[in-house]
Amino acid sequence: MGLFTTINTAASGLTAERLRLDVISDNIANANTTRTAEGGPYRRSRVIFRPRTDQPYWRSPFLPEALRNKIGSGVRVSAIEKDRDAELVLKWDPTHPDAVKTGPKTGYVELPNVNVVSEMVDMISASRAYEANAAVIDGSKSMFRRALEIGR
Amino acid sequence: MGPIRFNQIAQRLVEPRRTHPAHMAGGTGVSGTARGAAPNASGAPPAGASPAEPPPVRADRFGTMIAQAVGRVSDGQLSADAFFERMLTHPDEVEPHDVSIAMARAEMSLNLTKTVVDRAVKAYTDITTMR
Repeated sequence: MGLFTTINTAASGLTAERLRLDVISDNIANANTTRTAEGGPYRRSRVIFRPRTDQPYWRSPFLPEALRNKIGSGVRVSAIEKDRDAELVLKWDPTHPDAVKTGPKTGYVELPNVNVVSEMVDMISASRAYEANAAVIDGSKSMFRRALEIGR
Repeated sequence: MGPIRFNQIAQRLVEPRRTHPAHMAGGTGVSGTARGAAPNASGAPPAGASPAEPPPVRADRFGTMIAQAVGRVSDGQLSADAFFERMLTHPDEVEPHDVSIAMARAEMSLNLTKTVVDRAVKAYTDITTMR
């Protein structure tokens, strides 16, 4: 409950949404990438968030009251991981240098499992979440301003 | 040293004689007032012992406090400046909202200090123009 607690919390949300937008733009930019360092086509990345807190994550009845989880202090990125669940897109193009040479998929090119439409939807979601966090900062500021005007 | 707490400053302005360091030892803004009203609620001395005398009030207390607050406000503005400069020189390394937030913080700290000083000056003029 400090002067800047709300702002710090919302700032973590802003940073997280910015990072999410970075990942989305990476996905869209690599929507047609067929060659990567680890072999095979590009796979879309996902961001995984988790709450940021100064208190311990584990629960125990012996934990002193002062250490119990109270208000968290925002969000942090837990991991950016590759989506290996969604199927790759196959496109028939035998002359492509990265076309599959052997096996049942011969002649097909494996394209990334990036769905540009759903990435755009994610982008809108990230933008709106960013706006929401910015609105929280504005709200905190106007609350502070109002507090200074008490009794004037 | 955390950010200056408005309640603590207001409390020190309103009742400077009853304030002693135990109250300012890092209480939050809300509980600071409550502890000021009932100083013995948490750290009660053992029965029979006389409560510790509050240290003598120094004459320059308000002045030093304001000087410290202004120093902190200045630090905040310098950090906002540094952010801004860094955004211009290294645009890839700085998030735009970090700059805005640093500026918002500097502005909020300045407003807070300004309000406190304004109130003090107003109290002074209220007394000098009393008739």
